[in-house]
Amino acid sequence: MEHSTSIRDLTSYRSKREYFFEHFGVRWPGTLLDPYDLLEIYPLSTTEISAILRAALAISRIYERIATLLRTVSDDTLLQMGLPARTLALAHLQISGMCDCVIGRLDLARTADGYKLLEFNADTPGMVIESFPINATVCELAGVINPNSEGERALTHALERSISAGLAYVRKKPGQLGKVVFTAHATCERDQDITNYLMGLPELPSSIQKQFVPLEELRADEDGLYDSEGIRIDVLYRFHPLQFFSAKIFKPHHNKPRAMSNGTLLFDLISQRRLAIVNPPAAFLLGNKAMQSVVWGLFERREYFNRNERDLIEQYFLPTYMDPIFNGSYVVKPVYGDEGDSITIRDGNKRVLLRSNNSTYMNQPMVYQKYVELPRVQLMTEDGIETLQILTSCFLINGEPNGICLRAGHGITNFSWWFLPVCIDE
Amino acid sequence: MNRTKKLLMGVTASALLTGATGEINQAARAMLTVTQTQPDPQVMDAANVIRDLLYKVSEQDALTVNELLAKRPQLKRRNVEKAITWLLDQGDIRKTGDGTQYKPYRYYDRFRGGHGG
Repeated sequence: MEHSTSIRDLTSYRSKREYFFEHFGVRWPGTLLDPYDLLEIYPLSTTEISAILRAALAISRIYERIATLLRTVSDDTLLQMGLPARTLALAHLQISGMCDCVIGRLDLARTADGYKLLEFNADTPGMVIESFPINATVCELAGVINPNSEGERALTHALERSISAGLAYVRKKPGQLGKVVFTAHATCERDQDITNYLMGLPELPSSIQKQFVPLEELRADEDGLYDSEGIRIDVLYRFHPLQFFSAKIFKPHHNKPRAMSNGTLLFDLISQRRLAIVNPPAAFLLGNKAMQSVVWGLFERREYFNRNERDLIEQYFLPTYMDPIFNGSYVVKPVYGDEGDSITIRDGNKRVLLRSNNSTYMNQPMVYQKYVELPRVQLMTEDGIETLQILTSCFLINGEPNGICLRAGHGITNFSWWFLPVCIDE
Repeated sequence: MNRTKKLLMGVTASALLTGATGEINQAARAMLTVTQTQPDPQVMDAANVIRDLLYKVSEQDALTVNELLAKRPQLKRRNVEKAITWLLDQGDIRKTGDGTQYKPYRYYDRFRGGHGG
């Protein structure tokens, strides 16, 4: 506790958190684990909200452009970017009518020069529950305006559109029976909260059945992917990173010989149009952090991007390379890390300033990004007032910015950071 | 600057030479077949045991290979090591430490953080 907080303030703060948890926590049991996962609501001015949305839109447009280019590169180049070999072919696939990233989230740092992109969580973005239903509930309870109020509608529309594109991709005609499965690990309640929430949003034609099936219950053979009762799945929404889909993730169907022993099953099913997945495979490529070094490198070489795009890159991207070439502080991060795992911050002499405890992804290729300090704000916590760093995120839903999310904490951002609900400052 | 330069050369060369294509490279398919062999049954058994041992184990209580072996002495160290590599590849567990004597690798469940980025 850095400042003396009156016992009364602290008691009042804790009571409010406990009230919310007691009344609403049960809706999202895997997301809100204790009353103090949330902080007090944080007002954002309309100017600030506009700045975040503008940054997110610009970054989204740059990613659209670079995705077109990256689709043409050789497998050797994709391997240099750190794509696992088993995902190479999937990286080139596009599902017609489906956005490359249906639901993604940009992590941004607010600096003196405006917002800068830290990373793009394009494959399986978390914080969905916190940013949409929880933020809406907090705002409603406080009688303030929720800046993310349009997000749920956008998510619904994006899911309906992507499912429709997925059904068309597997050659389902309108009116034909179809099956859409939403899946996540049975042991991961947090992932299940997100999956179940998203599953509840789209309204599908009566001929299309939707259902949650735990990842562990999915079955497969060379002809398709099936639920636990053996019904063929047409579209799979998966809250499970593509990099972790590999051999033996699916149970065999009817004891048929498994083509999956070599790990190509998911790729084969999608490429043969027997299955569509959301987010689509292209999102996995977009989420690769080496993409940022490609963007920055092309910007520096004045290649590919036009003048206007180069201005946007200079404004919203950070210098990022595949080599540690900085004079000042920089961040070293794995191309496919998550949750602040395997991240190191070093000074210009390569001395370690901060390192995450986890080392799960240390074997991956690393990107090196200019270090920028996150803004610090004094906020009330369950332990009293603390000076915390703030990370800003903005969802991209079908490529459009929608849904702002703030987190606060110390050091490298990970799941232990608090979620900071936001409202519009009137 | 070598890796950055090499990557950019690859990107621009491909863009110039190949043009956009959705076709799947045959070499990549061949590579998939080679690299994705399924672990042998003993390793899979060890993986199931380790997954159970680490179920809901938090980072603070993460276990080393030696501690896992102490809990299940019937397992062979070699199978446990292979199983851990496999479980990490599957995204089932996380790792802490740097592999040194003072900070050995420790493993734990990723249930709290989930699989989202």
